[in-house]
Amino acid sequence: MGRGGVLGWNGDMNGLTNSAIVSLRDVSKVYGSGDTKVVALDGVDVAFEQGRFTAIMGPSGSGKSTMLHMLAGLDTPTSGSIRIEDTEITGLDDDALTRLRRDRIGFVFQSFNLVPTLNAKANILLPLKLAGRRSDPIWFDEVVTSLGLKDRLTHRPSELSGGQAQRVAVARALVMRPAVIVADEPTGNLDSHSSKDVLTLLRRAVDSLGQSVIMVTHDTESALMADRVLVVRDGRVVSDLDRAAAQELQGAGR
Amino acid sequence: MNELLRANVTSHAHRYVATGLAVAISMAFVVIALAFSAGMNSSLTKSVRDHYAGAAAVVTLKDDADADGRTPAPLADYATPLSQLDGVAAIGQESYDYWDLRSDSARISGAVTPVNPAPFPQPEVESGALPAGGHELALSHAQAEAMEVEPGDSVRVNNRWQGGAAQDFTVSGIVSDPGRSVNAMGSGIYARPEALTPENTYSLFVALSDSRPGESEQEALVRQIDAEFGDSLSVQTAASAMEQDLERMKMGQGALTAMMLAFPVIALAVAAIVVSTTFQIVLQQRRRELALLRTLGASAKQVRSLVLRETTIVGAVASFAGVVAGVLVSAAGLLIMNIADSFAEAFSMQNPLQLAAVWALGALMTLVAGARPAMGVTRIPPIAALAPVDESGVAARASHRVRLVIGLIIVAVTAAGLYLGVRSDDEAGFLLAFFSGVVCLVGALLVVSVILPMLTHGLGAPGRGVVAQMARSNTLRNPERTASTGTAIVIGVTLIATMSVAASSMRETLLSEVDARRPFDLVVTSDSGGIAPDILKRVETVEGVDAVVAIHASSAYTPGDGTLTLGFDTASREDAPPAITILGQPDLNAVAHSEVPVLADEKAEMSEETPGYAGVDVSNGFLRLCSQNARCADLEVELTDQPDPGVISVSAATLEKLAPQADLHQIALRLTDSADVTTVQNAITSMADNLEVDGAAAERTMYTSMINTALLVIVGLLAVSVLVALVGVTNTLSLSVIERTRENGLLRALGLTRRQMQRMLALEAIYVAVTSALVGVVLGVFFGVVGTMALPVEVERTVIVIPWLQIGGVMAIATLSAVVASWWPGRRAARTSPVVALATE
Repeated sequence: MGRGGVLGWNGDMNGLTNSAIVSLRDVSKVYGSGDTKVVALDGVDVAFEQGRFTAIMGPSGSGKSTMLHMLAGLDTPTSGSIRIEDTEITGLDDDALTRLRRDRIGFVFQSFNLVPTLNAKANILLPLKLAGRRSDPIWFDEVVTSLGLKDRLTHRPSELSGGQAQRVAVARALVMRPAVIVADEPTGNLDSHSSKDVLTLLRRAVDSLGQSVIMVTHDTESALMADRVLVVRDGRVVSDLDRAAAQELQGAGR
Repeated sequence: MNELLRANVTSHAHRYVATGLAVAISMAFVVIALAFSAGMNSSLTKSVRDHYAGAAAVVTLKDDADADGRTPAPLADYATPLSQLDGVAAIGQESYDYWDLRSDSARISGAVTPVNPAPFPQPEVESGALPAGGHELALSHAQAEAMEVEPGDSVRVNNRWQGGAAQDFTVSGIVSDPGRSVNAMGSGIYARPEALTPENTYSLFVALSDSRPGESEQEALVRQIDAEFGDSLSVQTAASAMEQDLERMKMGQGALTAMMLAFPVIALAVAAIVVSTTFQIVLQQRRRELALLRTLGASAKQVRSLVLRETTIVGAVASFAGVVAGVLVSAAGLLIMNIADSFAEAFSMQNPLQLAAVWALGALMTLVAGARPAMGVTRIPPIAALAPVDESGVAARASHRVRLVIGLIIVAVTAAGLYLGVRSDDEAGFLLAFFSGVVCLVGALLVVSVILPMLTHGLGAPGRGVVAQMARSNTLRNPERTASTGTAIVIGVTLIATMSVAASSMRETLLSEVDARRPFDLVVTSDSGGIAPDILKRVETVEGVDAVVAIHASSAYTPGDGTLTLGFDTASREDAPPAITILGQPDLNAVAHSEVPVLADEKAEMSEETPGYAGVDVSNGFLRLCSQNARCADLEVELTDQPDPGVISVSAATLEKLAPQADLHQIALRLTDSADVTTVQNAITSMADNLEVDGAAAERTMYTSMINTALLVIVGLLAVSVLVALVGVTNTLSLSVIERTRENGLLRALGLTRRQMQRMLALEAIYVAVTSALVGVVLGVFFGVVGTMALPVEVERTVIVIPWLQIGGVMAIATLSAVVASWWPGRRAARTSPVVALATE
């Protein structure tokens, strides 16, 4: 993206007034200093709309993961500001940020998504329990049923296949009805069949539940499932595509 | 390989900090124990040398001096003739005596220290002078203060040993308090030897005019004395007498050193567990790194040697740090305790060769403890080591079962030994029980090391909330780790609980023995005449006195008709049978520590000899006791085994009826728990000259303070091993935190706050520590009870006391220490950045 400039921040961007669920304004992230200085993000301005599936693409080291960490409140930017729903998160202390992640953001990671000592059900309910919130049993049932996890609930992560583990992670993200689900290479460790499975689930979450999803990937196939694709290179958003076609993404992940 | 070794040690140094600490603490402990026993030794040696300062020969009475039936002359009588020998400068007397001193305001009693003339050691004078004549004495600063006297004042002295009339002594001077030196003794009363009871002189020191006589002079003197007094005196040179004393002392020292070293050895055993656990964890975490070396062409032997050398370096460095710390701490300790006068002297008490040996021991212990896990690593083929491994394999399970079975067999066999040991009352039985107990503990630890993770998991069950549940699951994820970390704690807590149960039981057993034999704290008696009636009221108001009961008595005598009449003057008729004391026995239970039977009003107690001794007729089973105005009571006679035939006990009411004017004979009193026995005793004896105060209180206090002190020292020494075990908790936790970086990052991403993370780690530590402490307490109570029952002491009944308060304290400390032990790893875990964690592959 990067074309919106300062004006884009004010809601004039792509005509998506007030529906931004997450927005980054002039966000930079610099690691190290002097000779070892690495600019991971370089003045990124971008807004993510409510109820859409956005993919962030880019090769290794492009800054796509850093961008995801920033917008999910996992890391703090060197400069710029980030807003999640109505909350400016850049000034928040660790506890407030932790609570925000717990309550408003659902995570699906590439691997090591689940706490090995907890069974599937406990893993799904973990963020709710950490927050001291009660789970809605009807909603929980609906989520696990639709993800086909009903008879896997008492299994430990070591007893689940990779695809099943990712489905548990998606269930965990869905069950708390977050503002946005953030997925970091969710299919990176899966075979093609399981990959398709997980992507379909995320797609369905957006289509039938109106859930917002932001996914980082370097895989073109995965990106094609998204409503919008941001291509990142050298810490900048170099293209912003709506309903991208396969040839437009050629080489974006490499 | 050396370069790699260096790099490994530097980059993994932080993982070895806690292990190093555990090794260092135990080695420091060993050094301190050795230094103190050496310090004590040198201080005792010095005191023996001081004792013989100035002496050239030591003279004692011959053992067979009274073989011919004559009472030999007391040794003191030889002082003068000996002093007249050629070249003899002075005679010193070794003697003891026990005096009562009375000033206007106070009365004290105590052992008297003889002050011998120079060149024998002299007490240090603060004011006035040392006693010069037979009727002078010096007091220590503290005693002079207690008696409120100054040089020149007069005090009345009763020689308690000899009896006889009181004499007036002048206080010639005040001398410094004996101080804190190891050999400080005496009660701070100093007098010329000739003022002491002559029969109590047990040896004479002969000094020559040459104040430092050589061996030949000493031998010449011995020959001279032997020639002159050889019939009745035995004599040896001061040098050989001192040599004998030093020999005797050394034997005691050896036993003491061995006992003192038992505690560092326990700490060392705990440290070995911690070290072994650490290497197991660290090497497990480094499997891939080591396997990489193997795939790159390092032979199994090379990898093993690398790991072993790493272990050696860790051990050598940690052990060295421990030895240095131990040297510094013990030097400071010796200085503070006045065993050494300067830092230089304190350092000189440490034997460099011994220190080197201790250092080597520490390094070797680390190497041995670390060797087993190191060997394990090299058994893994390169490919297998590169693949992720499930930690709890089948092989581990099998060895667990073997360990459990072996442990149970040991426990079963030693339980039989314990049973037999407890059943028999002799020393052999105790030894059997002791060794069975030690081996049984080892067996129990084997069992515990298998079942501890299960117990920990069980203990965590009531924990509510997801944080508590995760902490609980974490303790089960590496059962081996939890087991060895916990076992280290179990050892220390078991021993502490054993000691406190045994000590409390021993104390109660001794006290109940004292209670049964001598039920009263203090009894006030008079050594001449009755006690003045107002004394009762005054005793009641003394601070520290809880309750008093007065015992009245009256003398009685038979007019010749087989009856007894109270209050007769026996002196009027010379041929009359002796006067009998009629004791009015009140209900003493208000002041007694054990139940005292109450004498019924119509009964009279006496010994079997009493009727004949008193000339009374009790053939019909009754004693007729009459008042002076001929009111009589017939009392049923009960014969008892009381020792004094001149005493007949009746009830207080009976005596009151027949002799309302009876004298106050004794006052029995009970003290409050906080009372100081000596203070109360001095307060009462100061009320009147004829008062004597005696009782079980001093004995009770002595037993209590003796056992409490011993317990305190032992627990203090055992606490070091618990400390080492807690270092182990920190160690295991922080290594687990390193291992769980990704998981902790995930938890942080999912919304676990830093505080929740800290809490999770703290709970993990608490579950392990509390379970282990509980197991330790259960084992300790068992061993404590069995040990107490097996002790070969002659008592009526063994009282078993479980000191719940102390045990609760141990549990509380274990919990608190667990929280402290988890602080550092918890902080580290809480600081895990979710991003860094997720980035780690």
